[in-house]
Amino acid sequence: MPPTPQRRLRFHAGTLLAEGATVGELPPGFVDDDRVGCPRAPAWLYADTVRAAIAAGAPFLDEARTWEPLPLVPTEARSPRPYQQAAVEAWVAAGRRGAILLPTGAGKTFVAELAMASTRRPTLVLAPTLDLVAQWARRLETAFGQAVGVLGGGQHEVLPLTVSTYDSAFLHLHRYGDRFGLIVFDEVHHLAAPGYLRAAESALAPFRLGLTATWERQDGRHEDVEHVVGPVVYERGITDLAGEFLADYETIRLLIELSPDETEAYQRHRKLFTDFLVAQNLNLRGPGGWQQFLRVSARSREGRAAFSAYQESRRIAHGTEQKLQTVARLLREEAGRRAIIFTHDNATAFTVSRRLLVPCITHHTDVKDRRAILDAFEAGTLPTLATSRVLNEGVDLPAAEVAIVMSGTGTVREHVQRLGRILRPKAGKQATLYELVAANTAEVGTSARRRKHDAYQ
Amino acid sequence: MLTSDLLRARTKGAALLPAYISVDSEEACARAAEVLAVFLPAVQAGWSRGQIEEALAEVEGDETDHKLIRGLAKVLFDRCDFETVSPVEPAALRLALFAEAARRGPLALSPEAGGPPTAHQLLAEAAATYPPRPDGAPWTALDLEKALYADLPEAQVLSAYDGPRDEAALIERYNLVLVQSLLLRATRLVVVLSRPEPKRLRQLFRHLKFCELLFRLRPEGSALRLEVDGPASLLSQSTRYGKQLASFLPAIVQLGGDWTMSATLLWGPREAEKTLTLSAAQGLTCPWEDRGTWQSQAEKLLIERWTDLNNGWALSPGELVHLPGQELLIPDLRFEKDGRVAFLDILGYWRKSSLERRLASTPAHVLLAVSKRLLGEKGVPADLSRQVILFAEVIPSKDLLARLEAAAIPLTGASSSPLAAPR
Repeated sequence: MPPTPQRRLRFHAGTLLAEGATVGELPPGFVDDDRVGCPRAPAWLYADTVRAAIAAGAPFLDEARTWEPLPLVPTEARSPRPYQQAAVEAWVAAGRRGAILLPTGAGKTFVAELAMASTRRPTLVLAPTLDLVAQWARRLETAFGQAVGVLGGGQHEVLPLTVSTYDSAFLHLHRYGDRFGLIVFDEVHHLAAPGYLRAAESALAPFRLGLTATWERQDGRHEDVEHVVGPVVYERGITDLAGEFLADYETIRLLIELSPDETEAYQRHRKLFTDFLVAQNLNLRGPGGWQQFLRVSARSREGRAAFSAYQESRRIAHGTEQKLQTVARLLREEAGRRAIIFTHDNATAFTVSRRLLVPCITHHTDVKDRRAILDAFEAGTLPTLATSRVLNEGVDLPAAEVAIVMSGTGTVREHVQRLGRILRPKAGKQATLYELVAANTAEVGTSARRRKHDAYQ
Repeated sequence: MLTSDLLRARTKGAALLPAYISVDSEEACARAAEVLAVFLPAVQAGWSRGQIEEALAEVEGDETDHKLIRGLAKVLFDRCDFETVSPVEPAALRLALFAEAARRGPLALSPEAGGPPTAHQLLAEAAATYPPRPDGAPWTALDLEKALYADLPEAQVLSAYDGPRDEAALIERYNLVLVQSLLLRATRLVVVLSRPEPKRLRQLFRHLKFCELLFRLRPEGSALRLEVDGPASLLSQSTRYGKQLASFLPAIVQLGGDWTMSATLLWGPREAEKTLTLSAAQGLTCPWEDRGTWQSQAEKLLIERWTDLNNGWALSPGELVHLPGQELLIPDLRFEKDGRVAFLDILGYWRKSSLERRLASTPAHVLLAVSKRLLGEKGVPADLSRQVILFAEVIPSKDLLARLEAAAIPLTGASSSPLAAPR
């Protein structure tokens, strides 16, 4: 039976309207909208809706989708590595939905290009940072020889191939959700934020590809991601690929003694903090323990003082003068190799920059400066750079060989990502990661927590 | 807006009660004064953001009402502009210095005989290459160190300020911003308006459309009940339209007359559903210029002369006219005579395409007065139908009278709604 004009699918502000249909005949997720007089669902139910209607012999006139097939021909013949080929085949076999897990440096971007060339639909790529967005845009322009639109960082151009930050997608996807057949989610673990998930649901795209090195989230929300993107269809870890497809690496942990003054100050602040915990009978390790500390500490002057003391103790451990001395020494020992210094906080990154006159990239660094710094880093004219957390993921720095972690969180993900920065393969490359840990401080425990990954065993 | 760590509100059953502050509270006034005592000199002297933050940290100390202090400061920060002030362009200086350091480095942290230079040495060398400053003094390593990151937010300098300057104004602004920030978590709003002025209502719907929100409208006794949410609101209880709903608040606060608003919010880590209610009686004020009741010169002149004409057509402010779909029309003026009614909408500024669209959707008993001033470049609209009256400065009353007679429809046929009574 051909579609009748009375049965019509329309896209409206991130949702799907099924005119002339009743909720009962539609897939779960539709609700009657009395404001407009027809059923409405999140846009991402589009594929299910079309399939169900065809199966029931009552198709819709499709005015929702505005995209057409898009010829995507790679401009250069480049043969995929076996695992890249296998990953894309697994994704296609799963109905072009699902996530591919590969370590940083294993060529996830090329996997996405293969998937796009095989799917041939207008494609939206979502990436967490402006650096990554710029990098994707350049790569796709070269790979397919066509202009690529960018959403984010002050740019707002939507083309059949478009790259956007997650933030901009959250703001705008409800307007453009009818234009893309495929969405690629780079660093897909970011999608778990509820706002981003809802943004993803406001696109019709039947085909979805998630890419990441680290699927698990401590909050267990990767299940919500699976709901939208599909399950993991292919997975390889660092240890599967090191040596052959990734650079060989070693990790070295250095215990840094605080100076006597620093030790005294650290212990004084730390005691103020822990005394408060004991007095209030708080256990930070328990579920919700940290939130409870924040609540309790805001209620009294003692609590406020304890909170300040906690911050001060961390500042001492993170930025101790002894760590800076060690960084200066390592840079001289490793002179000639490209090195990245990672810090937990911006203040320490800027201190390194000021004291050693090396460039520093934080979230304050504008796109142009960042590009200049990263290009000079690759070219070797600026062989060292300091950064807080912004370079944790994604950005390609193939020349980087040495990572010096001055401070960080206790999460495995951050640590694996930082290691990943220096693993992009290059002939004969031997990568080194130094982790500086302030001895006799809470950092020792933080370090132990973040090393719980097979890449560090 | 206040960030979520600065929100102050408590719950009582299902109600969410914003912790408003009052000019009657000595403590609130003292806090407002303390925060202003940081910002006003900062405006005067052009402090950096870092300096302001430091001074605020002093005010804050270990006080337990730091949320209020920080919140008041945020309200003021949002009215500040900061700019980079530096004799040399920081980004260029950085690239030059870092490149030089890379050629000579890696650097030493303290001077070493025969070793690599320190940062201080390189800065001093670079400073020596600069021509003397306007005041004749030579450049120093310290000057360059300051300039190196003069473009960072904390180093940027306060350059413009258009916020409150006394305690009462700050307290008023704080209360409005507090409600607005809470509304970021809103899932829907219900506004009940009793006898709103047509122009206010028109402003309200213009805001709704601008914010891409949807609504249900129905009479409730002599009042109008307006439910506002977004397209996907009925699919999942979510705060995705919170930003739009929050930016809609000033339109409500400016309504004047009697109104109540209740917002459904998702509150706390468990996102429990709470209700925040607000009414005209609370006296929240909106500091922005209010153009809601603006009357064009043409409209004023027409009203002034109409009574003298004594032609039997009673003139009153317009009322709600329902159009198909979600479209509403609230014309400027309503005319009634012998049980028949017609409307007039005055368009001072228009485009040909928008006028044609208006004509296509406007019922025949609504006349449009169109300014001739904008006619020249655009040409006469394709369909200068009987609905359109052209005017230069004054709307020609004879012409209008003739059209009213022809266009008016029986009162029963006209949609009526509980709007402000004719005055």
